[in-house]
Amino acid sequence: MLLSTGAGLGWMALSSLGGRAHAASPPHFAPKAKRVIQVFCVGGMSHVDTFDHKPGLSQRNGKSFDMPTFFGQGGNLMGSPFEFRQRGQSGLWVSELLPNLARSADRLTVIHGMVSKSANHMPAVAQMNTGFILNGFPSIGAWVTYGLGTENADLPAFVVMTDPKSQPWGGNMQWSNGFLPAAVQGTAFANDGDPVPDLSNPKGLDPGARRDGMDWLDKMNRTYAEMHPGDSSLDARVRAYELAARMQLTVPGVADLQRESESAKRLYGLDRKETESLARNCLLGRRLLEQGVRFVQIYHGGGGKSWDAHGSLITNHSGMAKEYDQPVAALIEDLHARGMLRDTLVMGVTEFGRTPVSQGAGKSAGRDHHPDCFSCWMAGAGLKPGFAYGGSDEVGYKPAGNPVTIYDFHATALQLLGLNHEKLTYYHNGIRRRLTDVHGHVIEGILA
Amino acid sequence: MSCPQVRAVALSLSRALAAVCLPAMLAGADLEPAAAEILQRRCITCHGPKLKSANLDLSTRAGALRGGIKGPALQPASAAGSLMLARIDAGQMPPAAPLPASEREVIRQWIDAGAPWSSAIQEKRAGPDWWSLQPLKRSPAPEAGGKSVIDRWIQTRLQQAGLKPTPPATRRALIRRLSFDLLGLPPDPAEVEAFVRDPDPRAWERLVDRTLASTHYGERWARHWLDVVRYSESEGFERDSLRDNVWRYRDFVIRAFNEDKPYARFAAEQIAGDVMPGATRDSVTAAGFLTLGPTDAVGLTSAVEAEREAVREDMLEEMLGTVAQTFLGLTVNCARCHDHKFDPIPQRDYYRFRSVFASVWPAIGRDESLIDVQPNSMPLLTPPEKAERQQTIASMRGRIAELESEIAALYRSARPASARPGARVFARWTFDTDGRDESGEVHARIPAKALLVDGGVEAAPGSETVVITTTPLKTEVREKTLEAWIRVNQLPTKAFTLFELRNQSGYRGASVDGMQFSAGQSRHWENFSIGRFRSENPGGGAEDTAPGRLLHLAIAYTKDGRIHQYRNGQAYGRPYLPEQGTPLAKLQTYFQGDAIARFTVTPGMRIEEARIHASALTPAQIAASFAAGIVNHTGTELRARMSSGDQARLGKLESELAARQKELAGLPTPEPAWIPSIRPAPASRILQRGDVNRKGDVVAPGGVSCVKGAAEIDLAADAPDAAKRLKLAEWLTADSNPLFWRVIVNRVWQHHFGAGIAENANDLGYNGGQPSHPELLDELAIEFRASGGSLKALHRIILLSDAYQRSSRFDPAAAAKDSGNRLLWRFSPRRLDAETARDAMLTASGLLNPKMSGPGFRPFDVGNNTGSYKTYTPADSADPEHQRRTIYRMSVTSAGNPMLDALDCPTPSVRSAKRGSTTTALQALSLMNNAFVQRQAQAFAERLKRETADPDEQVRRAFAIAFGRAPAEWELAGSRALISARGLGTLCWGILNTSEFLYAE
Repeated sequence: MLLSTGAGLGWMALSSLGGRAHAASPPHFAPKAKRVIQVFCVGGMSHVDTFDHKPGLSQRNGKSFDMPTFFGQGGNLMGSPFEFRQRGQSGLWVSELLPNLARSADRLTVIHGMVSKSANHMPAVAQMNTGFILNGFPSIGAWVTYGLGTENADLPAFVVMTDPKSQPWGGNMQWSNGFLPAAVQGTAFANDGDPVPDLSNPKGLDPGARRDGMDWLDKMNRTYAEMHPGDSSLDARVRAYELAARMQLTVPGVADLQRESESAKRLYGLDRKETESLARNCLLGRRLLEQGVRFVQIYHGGGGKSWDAHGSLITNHSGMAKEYDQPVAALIEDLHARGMLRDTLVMGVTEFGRTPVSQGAGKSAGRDHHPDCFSCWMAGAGLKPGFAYGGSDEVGYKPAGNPVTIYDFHATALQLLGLNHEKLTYYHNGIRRRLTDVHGHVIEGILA
Repeated sequence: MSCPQVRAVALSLSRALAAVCLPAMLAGADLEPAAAEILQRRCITCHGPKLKSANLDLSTRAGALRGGIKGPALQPASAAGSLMLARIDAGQMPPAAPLPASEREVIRQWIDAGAPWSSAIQEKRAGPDWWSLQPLKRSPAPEAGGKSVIDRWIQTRLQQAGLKPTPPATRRALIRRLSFDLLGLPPDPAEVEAFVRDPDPRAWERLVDRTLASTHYGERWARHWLDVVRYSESEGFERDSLRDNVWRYRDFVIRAFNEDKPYARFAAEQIAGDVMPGATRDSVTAAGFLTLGPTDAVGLTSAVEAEREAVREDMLEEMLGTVAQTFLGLTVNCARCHDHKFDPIPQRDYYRFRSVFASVWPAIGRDESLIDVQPNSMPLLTPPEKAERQQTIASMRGRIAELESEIAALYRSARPASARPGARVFARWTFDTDGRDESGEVHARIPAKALLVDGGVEAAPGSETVVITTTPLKTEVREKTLEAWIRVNQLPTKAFTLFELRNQSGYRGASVDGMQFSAGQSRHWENFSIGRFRSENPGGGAEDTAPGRLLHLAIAYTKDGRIHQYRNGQAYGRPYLPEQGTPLAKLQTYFQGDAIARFTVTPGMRIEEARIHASALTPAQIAASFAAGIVNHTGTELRARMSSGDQARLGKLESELAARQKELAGLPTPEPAWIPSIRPAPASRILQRGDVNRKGDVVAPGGVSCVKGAAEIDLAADAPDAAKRLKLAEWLTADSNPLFWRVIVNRVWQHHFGAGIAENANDLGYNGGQPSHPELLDELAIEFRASGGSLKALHRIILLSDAYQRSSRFDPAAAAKDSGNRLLWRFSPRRLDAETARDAMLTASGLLNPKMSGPGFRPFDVGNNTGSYKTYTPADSADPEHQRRTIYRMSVTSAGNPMLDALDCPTPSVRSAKRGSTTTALQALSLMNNAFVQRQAQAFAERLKRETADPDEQVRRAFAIAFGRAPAEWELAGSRALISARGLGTLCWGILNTSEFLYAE
């Protein structure tokens, strides 16, 4: 990845990263994690039905509870219809919705009592990605790429995979480079056809014609660059075409899941209809990480079908969890088996939780958006495994102690990657911008 | 949104941080710099010599010892006795973010070590003496250096730095440079040759004038402006719905540039063009600038009021932030939560500025007084036209209402006395001859899809579900009964809501109470009550009424929150019982002026009569009502009962009514445009820490106090919107406002040279840095102001300078001293921006469609998801509309375009002062394989074949079109070989991918 800008400021440039294997920028301090894979449960995964065990909520089931809700249809408290059990050596609570993740509980670090700034999907997803609820800010993947560069110039450094059934709210705004250089934007791998936009040569193109055309172009561009010494972007263009050609060779191989063993495919759930699409993305994600991709972001759910259980919590969350549980657990176990979990950060996030009170009643009862308390998890490098941090009140309405902000969550992720969230800045429109705005404290309590 | 309190030292420059993270390892000598770094980052912005919050100045040891209003801050060698550490340890300071433990530890050790403090900590912020805030000042220009004042200043700085400028560029290079710069298009080969051969010594000047006169100039420079004003044609956020009429603003900008509209007028129209005296449709369109930003349409409908308010505050910050950055180059938006950390902008100024725009809303919602039919738009009318239309519509509607009332009275007088309303009900619709309320004024409007037949209302043939709505209630309703007589020929298969009361106020959770059918259980009636969730199936049994028989349904809402349903006079299932003590399940209020009634008819089901009672009828009353039944009267029957005089009068009234309705429907529809919608707003209050729940003092509208010179805006806090914006426009564009003139001159300079005199065109405050040639900037600003704000005159001055005409030849010796070329020893070559690259390809291929103005082309497919949210997938098309210049591409926030994005096209809706210029493998892939590029390469080849059959000529022609020059011998040979081996298409593809094609030097 090559970049030139005329900004002339003291920010670090991702310049001349092409060609060499370890052309990444040095981090601020020794990193625990070298790469990230994030699975985003779009729509709002209910904390009180997955990781945040609330016997008090069940005891007060049906009791009234006065709280404002986004749709203004708040009913009474509703205990989780799903059974919780303590799992593994660690005794981490995980509900029956996630049996596979439950078996991996000893590798998870669950963070309870998180808070978001918006009760509305798009801004809340945006905050989880960018720290801001407004449009136009860089995604965490873009920040990390900006801070650390890439390990493999033949592949995009920040890869995004969306749910084939529907896009997340906000679409490509969610993996935008914002005001950072375009080079760090997320590359959305298509669910069919070319994984990378314009990767394949046009259909019917004679490969010989392309080869000769590229030779002619190379000569022209080299000559032009030689005639303009001192304009490094012209050399960079020559290299960019070489890289592009290599990417054309590399990406299809990396993206080819047929190269995986049958047992790996089964582990992720490629053989089952409900798990197939997320399994595909998780397995591809792991392959990309192996090849040096810095940041992989996978969306589960989107505007069409998501974890947004306003009605029929049981049907919705059971269905979504069936799609989610096995591939994600397989990803963790697979990374572990390959020795990669120790320097890979896995993050399971959602934009907000769901209300302890019901929305609707009876079989169709669901839960409304709840940004005031929810749970996310991390796993891997530098974290205390089998550990739950923070907590919520008796019914999961508010954090029990200090809330964990998304800024804190981001600050911690950056810290694990060797980046100081207060130092990873970019000057834009009068402000040295950060992923964490003016907030954020590293959650020291979850660090190993 | 807020901004960093710290001006963090860039990573690559500072390693002090590593030390901060490991306090235990600090030796005495390292303590001072570490502590100084923390003080500077964390404390000095407030407790520095400029702001001196709490009268405390921590920039010097003396200041710390003297302390502030709470006493001395520092007691050397005693951390425990030092107030500053006590405040830090208590988490009180800094207020927004407590210090991490490691930093506290550094401060503690440093104080205990005696607080060594060898020099004052420099404050990093601007005061009122900051350069950009000073009045424009003409400095005597140096005498040597050239004819142009530009060159004299530039030459002086070059000489001071010991630099020599490069020689003038060739004419071939110059015309290409100028053409891309002013028009965004490559020059025509014939023009290149003519200019190169032009013997006139004033050939350049004449070329500049000719080029400035081209209408392509407006298309090119409008794009720069659209970047700054975050031009977008969709609302962003969750739905990202299209805004179909924003293109008029784009056309306004193109026209303004082409007509060289005086800059102050151009600015004023964008601030207040919709309310200014002598407003034109053009100026009204210009005001759309204010609301080009994204709209969180879903957030605005939150049931939580504080959330709606916060969303609105974000919108206002976006709006006023854009105004301030666009015209003042100041980040006023940073002062929303606190005084600006770097510039002398107190929080109070933010809220004064906010007050000016408090009534400005995007054109969402409808204005019934104007019959506004298109979503995301307002009728494009000047204030007098608007007033006239409102008056015309109101008078037509008034006459229609009179006629309807007279007609209704005639029909009612013809009814037998027994059929006239007996017991007083709140509202009653017989649907005999109209939708009028027989006992009150809640009239239903019968839509065209419904028919009044045989004394009832039903769906017109061919219509599916038809919803009939009423005018709003005139008095509020709490306890109530809804009653309806219906006739069912065929039970509807789909769920529907027969009859409901609904608060309209637009927010999620608006109350609804009504009766619905087949909602949860097929063929069952249920109460339908949202807003405090109370919908429930009462278990009343499946509907089995005989076809054609009258069916009576009623639902009563009692004071204690119960809901009772009845069918044919009998209780239907069990009542809904709110749980004791549940505040959420209470009886709802339906507000006057807000709530309406709604009825639904479906094929096979008609409503014969409906009533609302403002009380919960008892079971006995319901039974009696059912027993009394209803009498239907048809229009024919009633007309037959009328006297011949009344019949004649009715005929006259009805024909006038039809004529009037036709007249109203036939009113010409004004063109829709994206212009502000003005809504009443309370006086602006300071929000502490920007929090809508912490409202402080009311403030009057105002400009920004650090901008001296312009007269203060002297208006009351509750001044009307028009007055506030007109005054602000006057303040902003005043001759005496130095920022207004400096900012635009700097922007123009930046686009000509690639970098501004001040490098950050959107920020001339502290963080924007110092200008490279301040005197020159002022000189040009003064000239520009004196010219009446003529941008073309400004371009001319710049383009005629030697500095602009220099060669871009690289000089290692000069680069060693000034690698960024800030002093302009050469002309920096630049890659074409995304739009220009695309337009240049279209020019080479000959496919460019020169059509100007009008709605843009849409290079995407629109996908519908659940709800109202859209997805956009890029789509290439050979349609001529899609071969227009890229500025006519519809700019949709979430509709990316892989090729344009890879060429650093910014996201619409983001203010962008300057384009990036990155080089990536993905960019190369796009240029190699994108379907658009393939098409252009093919068309380029076909064009060449049409023009000449000789391969050598084809190569020469291709080079002339793409590069403005002849091929060298080796290029000719190589290209000829490529054509013969792989065809002309391959060569054309190669040309479009060359650096030379994509760069202007």
